[in-house]
Amino acid sequence: MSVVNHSPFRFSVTSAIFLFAFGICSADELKIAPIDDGLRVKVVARLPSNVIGTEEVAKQLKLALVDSEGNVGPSILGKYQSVNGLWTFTPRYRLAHDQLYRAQLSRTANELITREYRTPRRKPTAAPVVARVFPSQNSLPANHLKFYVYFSKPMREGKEIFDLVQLFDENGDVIAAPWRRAELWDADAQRLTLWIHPGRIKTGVNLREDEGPVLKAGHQYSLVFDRSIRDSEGNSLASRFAKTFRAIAADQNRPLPSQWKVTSPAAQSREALQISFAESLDYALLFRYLTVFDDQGNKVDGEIKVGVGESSWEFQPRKPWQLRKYQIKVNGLLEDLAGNTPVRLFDTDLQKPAPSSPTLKLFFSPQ
Amino acid sequence: MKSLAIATTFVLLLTAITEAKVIENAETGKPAIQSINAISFAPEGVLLIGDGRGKQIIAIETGDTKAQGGLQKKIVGITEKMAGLIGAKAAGIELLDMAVNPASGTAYFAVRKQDSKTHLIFTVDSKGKISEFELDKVSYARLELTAAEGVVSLVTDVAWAEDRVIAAGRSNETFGSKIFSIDAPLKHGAKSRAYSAETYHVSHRRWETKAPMSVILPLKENDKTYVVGAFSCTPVVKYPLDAIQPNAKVKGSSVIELGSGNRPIDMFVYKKAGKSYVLSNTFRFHHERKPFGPSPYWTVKFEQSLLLGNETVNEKAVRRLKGDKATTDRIQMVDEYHGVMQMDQLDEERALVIRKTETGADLEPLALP
Repeated sequence: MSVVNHSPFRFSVTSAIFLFAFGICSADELKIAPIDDGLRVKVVARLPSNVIGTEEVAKQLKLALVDSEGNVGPSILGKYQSVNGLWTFTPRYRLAHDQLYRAQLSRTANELITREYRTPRRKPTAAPVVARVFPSQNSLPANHLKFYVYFSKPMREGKEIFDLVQLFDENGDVIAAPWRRAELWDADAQRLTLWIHPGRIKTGVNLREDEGPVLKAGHQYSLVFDRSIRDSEGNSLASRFAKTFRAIAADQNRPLPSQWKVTSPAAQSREALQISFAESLDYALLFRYLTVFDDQGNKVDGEIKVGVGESSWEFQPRKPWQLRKYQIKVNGLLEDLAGNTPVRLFDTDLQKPAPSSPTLKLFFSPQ
Repeated sequence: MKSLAIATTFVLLLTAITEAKVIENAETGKPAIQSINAISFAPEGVLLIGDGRGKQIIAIETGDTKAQGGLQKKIVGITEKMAGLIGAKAAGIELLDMAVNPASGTAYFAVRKQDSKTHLIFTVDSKGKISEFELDKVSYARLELTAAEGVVSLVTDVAWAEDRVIAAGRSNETFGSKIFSIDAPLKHGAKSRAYSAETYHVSHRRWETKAPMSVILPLKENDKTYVVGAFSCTPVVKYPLDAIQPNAKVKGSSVIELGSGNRPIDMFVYKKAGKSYVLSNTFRFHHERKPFGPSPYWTVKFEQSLLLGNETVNEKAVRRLKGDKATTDRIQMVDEYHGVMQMDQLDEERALVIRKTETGADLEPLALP
């Protein structure tokens, strides 16, 4: 809090204009004046001329939240200013929607003037929905590692999300403690990466030994998003969302680029380069871990599309393909649904002999 | 806070090391903080903020260097009180992390205002007064977290280790563990060195890499710098950081196995009756079916000497439990700390804890066990 200016209270032409602007008359010593959308306010009060500093003013002039039971909260942080003989208090942060606030002026031991103000309700906005969940297919390996959940709006962050997204088996029984409770949102809080706890995936780890795997091959599951999941504005999901899938045999194989099928586009065209994988790969990583270069080592710009079931990939260049050799570089960290990479399995033992080095470069020549 | 600078508590174990100046040529202004995942303190009242979205550590000179003493009395409903200061209800904020400034005893809290996703820092002084530490104009250094592979999106912990800042981070797309190190003096714009961590998992007797650390603790032993890391359901692991080339893999030794289903949250070293201990609060995520106590948040104390040496490691690491029974009295559950969601060392006698209650959370000083 800081004092911008202080001057003893005296009634002048400018202060009369200020009083008029905020609707304070001589009979009204205290006022809460909403600004803009009503979540910013100025509290304006008359204080005696012997009040000379913000600490003194803060003892006499306060603004606080009042809860539904009438309890008054602590004084809200903000800035006190003296302008033409009046004191104003401006909260540092925007107030919350649809809440009751009370300004209190107590210039003497026996005086208590209060004014109350209810902030406007939030204008109704569309309820968020679960827009997409990846992997998109309905058969997932029993050692499946993570889901990408895309919401239609920025969501409220917080660890409660791990209790509001549940896995149910085919009998409707909830699978206990399936998630690695590390909050991994994207920058806009619209995408949540939800990890099945790796300790229940890796063989031999004590958590899996004690609790068993989360998914068992041959069983049906529902990934359910509770309607009480909220967006950052406080809206609940438009409806409960469920994705059902069947767990199939665990995937204990590396996704090897040598097994992929590359369909070369025509030269002098902007046809899409197409790659078919032998399995579904990680949706998000497919946008970062496959890159195309020309024979001079220049990165080719273009647009990536991930195909149905995340088992294919298309790349349309901005400029037509030339009659030359191109290279597709595969990052060794590209994962399949079980977290296996071309370099190694997710559930691996580093003391065992390393597997053969994978091919991480694929070539094609538009004709 | 998930760890503690070790300058005072490790004195007897350390050889003399010249303490470097913390920040050099600080920038002045408002740091562009995109998220706060973890906070901690370096000497000279320097606040370390781990920001995964910003892929950075922000080191701020708070100027709060005069010893004031730590909080004396419990504050009931700490979340409500902090929220009230910005005109919000308790549900309108999330308390992200806590760290005690060892230079002053003042507690610092990272808070997210939920509606605007604004990040704030609150302080609580010895008398229980809650204030905001404003970030609008501060002296700071931005330290960039860079890794040759993978993308950092979450800083799981940050800590001061006498002559450097150490952080642990992970990505929201790939599963792996990165340790970052930035030498002091911290210079605005400095880039980190990054290491990939290999871990021996006691429970399944394997070496592997894919396990992000949830909490780190700097450790000096025989003049060498180590990071002690703790994982979900995996052991407490010690990694050497000296003489490791950037982007190299660093191999850790598992020293303690705390048992499955527990995620360590905070960890610090303290001394009592001439002996050094480590205190760590953990979250038990199958508490409802297999409780260790009345709360999913429980706390363990173990002798710091368990972290030292290279003899009882990996397959010989000390296990807290065999079945449901304790195997050693060198690792003990601390009943007085049940329900502790966050904690840090307050002074030589006390810890400062945020304890979960039926209606919210209280901030209270507790005697070190």
